[in-house]
Amino acid sequence: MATKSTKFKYTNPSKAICLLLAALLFALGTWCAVELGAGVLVFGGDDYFKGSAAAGKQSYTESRVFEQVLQNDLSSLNTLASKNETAYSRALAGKQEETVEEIVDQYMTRQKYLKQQKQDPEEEPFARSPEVYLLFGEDDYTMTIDFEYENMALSEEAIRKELDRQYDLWEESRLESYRSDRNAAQQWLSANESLFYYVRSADGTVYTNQSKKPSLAEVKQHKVFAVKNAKVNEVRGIDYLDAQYESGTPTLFEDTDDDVLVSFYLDDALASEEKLYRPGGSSFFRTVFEGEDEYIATRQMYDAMKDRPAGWVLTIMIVSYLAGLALLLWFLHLTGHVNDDRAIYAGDGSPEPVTYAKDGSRLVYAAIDRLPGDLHFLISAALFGVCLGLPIAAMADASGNFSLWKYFPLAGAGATFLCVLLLAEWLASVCRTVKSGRGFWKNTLIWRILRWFGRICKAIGDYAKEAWHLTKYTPEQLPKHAFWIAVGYVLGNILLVNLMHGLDRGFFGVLFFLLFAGLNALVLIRITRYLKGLDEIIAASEEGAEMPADRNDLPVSLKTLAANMEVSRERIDRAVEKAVKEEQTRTELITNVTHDLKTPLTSLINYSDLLDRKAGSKELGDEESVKYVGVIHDQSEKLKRLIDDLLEASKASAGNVQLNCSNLNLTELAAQAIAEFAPEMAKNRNEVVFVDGSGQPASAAHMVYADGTKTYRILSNLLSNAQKYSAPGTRVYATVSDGPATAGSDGTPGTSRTTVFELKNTSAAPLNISAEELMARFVRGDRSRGETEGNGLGLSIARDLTSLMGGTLVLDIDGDLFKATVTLPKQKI
Amino acid sequence: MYTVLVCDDDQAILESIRIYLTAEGYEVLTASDGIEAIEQLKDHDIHCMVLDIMMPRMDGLTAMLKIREHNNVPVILLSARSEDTDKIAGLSFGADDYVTKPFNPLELVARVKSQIRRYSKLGSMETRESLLVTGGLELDTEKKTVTVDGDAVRLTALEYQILEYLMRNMGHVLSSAQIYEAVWHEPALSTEKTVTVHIRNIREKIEIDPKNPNYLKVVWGLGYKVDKI
Repeated sequence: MATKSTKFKYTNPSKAICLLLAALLFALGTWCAVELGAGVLVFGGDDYFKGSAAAGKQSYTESRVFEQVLQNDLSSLNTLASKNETAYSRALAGKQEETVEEIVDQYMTRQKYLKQQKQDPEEEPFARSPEVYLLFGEDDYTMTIDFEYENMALSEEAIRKELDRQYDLWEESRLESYRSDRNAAQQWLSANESLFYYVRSADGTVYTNQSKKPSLAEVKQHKVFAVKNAKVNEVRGIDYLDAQYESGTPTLFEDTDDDVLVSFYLDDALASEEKLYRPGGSSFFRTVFEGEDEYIATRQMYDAMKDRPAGWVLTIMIVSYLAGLALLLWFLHLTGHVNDDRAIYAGDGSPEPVTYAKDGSRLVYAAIDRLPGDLHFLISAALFGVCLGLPIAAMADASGNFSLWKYFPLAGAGATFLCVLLLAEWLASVCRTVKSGRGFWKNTLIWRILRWFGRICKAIGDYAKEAWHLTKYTPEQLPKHAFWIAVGYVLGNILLVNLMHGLDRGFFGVLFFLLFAGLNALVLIRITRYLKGLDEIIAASEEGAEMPADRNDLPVSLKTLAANMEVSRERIDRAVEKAVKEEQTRTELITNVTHDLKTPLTSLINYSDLLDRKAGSKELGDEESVKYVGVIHDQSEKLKRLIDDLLEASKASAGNVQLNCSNLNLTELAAQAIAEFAPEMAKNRNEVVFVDGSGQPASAAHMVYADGTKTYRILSNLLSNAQKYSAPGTRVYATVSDGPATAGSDGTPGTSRTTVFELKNTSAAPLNISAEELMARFVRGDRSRGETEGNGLGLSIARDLTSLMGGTLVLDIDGDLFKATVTLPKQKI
Repeated sequence: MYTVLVCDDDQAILESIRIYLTAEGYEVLTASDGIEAIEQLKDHDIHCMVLDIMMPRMDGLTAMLKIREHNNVPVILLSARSEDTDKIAGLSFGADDYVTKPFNPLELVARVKSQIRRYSKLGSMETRESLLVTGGLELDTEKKTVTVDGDAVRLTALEYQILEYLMRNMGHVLSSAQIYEAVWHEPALSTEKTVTVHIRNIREKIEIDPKNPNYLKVVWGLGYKVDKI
């Protein structure tokens, strides 16, 4: 628990007392410092700090401040005494002739030069420096003739005239300035009423603040300071540094022939109250606006200071400053802390996160601390400057006016007091900010501006980076961004080209050329890379291959394209794979089923055959049974063929057939096949007529590129079909010929690329069916599915095998005429 | 008396084959899988085997490979698989013949007969220059006779000349035009059909299964040939 004193420590009265005390101590210190300054001014540094005793030994007229005032007055008196306008003008006149001659000479030289060169003075550096700097005695003075094209031909006389005019003007202004100096000196002297002066100037004018010339008796009543060696310089007036004064016997003009000597009178009894302190010398306003007698003012300062212990004042000053500094630091230590039992809310009323110091007090900050630190500093510094600067400026302005010195200590102390308060306020704010953990830096405007600037820079940088990579844009975003990138690109190029043009050949010209070339090269590289990526994708899509692997390099738009295409490709691959697999499964199923069918069929055939034999040897009872056994045997044989055909058809349609293709003579093959079928044909009184394209009996070779066994299978299926369905006693026409010639691409008469085998037969039953239906599996020419042997599989197998070998099988039905046309390629495809 | 071992897991087929072979005068032993077949072979003197491929416990191909390690008894494989690749595999594994199901029982009997004849006569064959032989087919150019598995075959003069021409050029494919010119001694002009008809007739006389010829083979689209077996 906090003790009572600890509790008081962080209260507002505690802090206020602390701060006020510090400010007062600083003010006291400054008061002392100003007092010390005044002491130094009055007595001189060394004397003053040697101790009050030493200072006290000095009489007023020995003091530093008296010396100062007297010096001022002496210089004024010398100014009055030395003015001799006529003499001054004369002194100058001699110099004028020389300088004029010099200018005229230079001018004419240039004129001559230019005439020789026939050049425009605008372009000639030598001619373009027409100003001539000349000195009149030791005074800087410029006489100028503007040497320009228009006045190039000025005559010598005209130049002299112009120079005379300029000289007259200068002389007039010079004399005017002397007159004003004299007036100022007179005015200055008039303020010091305790000074008696009577001056006869070099030209005989008398300046005095006395109504009449004082008598020697009057003069002798005064302590006299005589000025020796005060001479009028011919040109520059009086050499002030030579002016000396010393105590001596009063002299009057009557006593000497020297008309440039200056004498003046000062009341020796300055200490005499009645004589010196005249009425009307103490009013503040009179002092400020009309001036006060400096001697009286400095005498007052002397009186006030002479007994003051300088050592003590110095000690008090140092102690006050140190104590003030200590208190100020203590105040800064206290500020920002409050006792924990006080609920403190921030200025806007929202509760702030509460932080605690080690001693249990809570750390807070005031509403003013929300003001950015640097802004706060600027406001404080401005006020500080006003509080400190105004008094300092005022004091500096009045430093030559000793009558005002008595106000300085108070002014200095007041200014210090205010300044300390202001400084403490700002420092306290800084302390609170730092203590409450927000950090001084982060609460400044400069920080915020820098941070804001940094963010903008980062945003621009990020955007440029994105634009550069083009990677982040999806296809939808791309056009919008592409527009701005194009605008930026064009503007950048325009800027660089202009900079390049404006700064040709220099270092920056080369630099901007490099930037220009670099910018365009980089853009080209980007575009090339983009197109390359596109090319890769196109190439990959053509081959159906995988998309480029390093897709991360590609812009998002292309990446999306590549990914989409990859997905489609995979989808197609999967579909194809699935279809192939399904087809294989189907073929396999049929193969397996047919195999399983074959085993029981074997038994069926074998036993029916055994029974048939028995029937033949009359071992088998009655006629009926014999007939039945025959049917079973025939049907099982038929079933066997059906199963074989089914298997073959399934393999052919799935393309699951191994082809051993070679060059074959189709004529030979057809003849062989026809021979195979001749006996069966003969049973039905059918005859095969085998001819070539011209109707002659076929003999010439017609080559095809095909698998012999499969081709035989095709022809035998067709022949078998013809044999089964031909009307009895009709002829079957087989024709082998070249296919239609295809003209070459260059218009030459083409050669036939195919060989055609045709088989025509007359159907026994009406063909009430289309060629397409006929080709379909399990559809036979005879819709009634009568007793005739065979099945629709034959044609289907023939068609599938033909197409596997790159040929075609076409069926035509014309009335009862049935025509099958097989076209096979002559050469390997 | 020759002994034939028939091996099939289907009892009905086994029985029917047994009936046919017994009728031909062979002693028939049966087995229902490969392992039984190998045991039968150890206990008996077997002259020919009919071996089904797909059987439980041990299949026909495995059994045949085991048998072939120390026995060259003729083996006829029996299978429902009719693809060429299956036939080629079976024959190259050491089989002497390959019959697909469903088969013509008489054909099987003929093939068994053929195998036994060759097996039993192996090594004691007369070799004369006038005798052209391939497998069970013999053509005596002096006597002008043709025998198949020892049985005489009656051929017409032209048929005999065609067969002799083919057997003299054993292994060569001869087109019908070549055959015509060699036999008829005339230029071939649209004579293919004549030759093909004769060839067909020859096949019917010498082949067990004319549609699946063993000796006189059709090379489709090129011609005919007789291979050395």
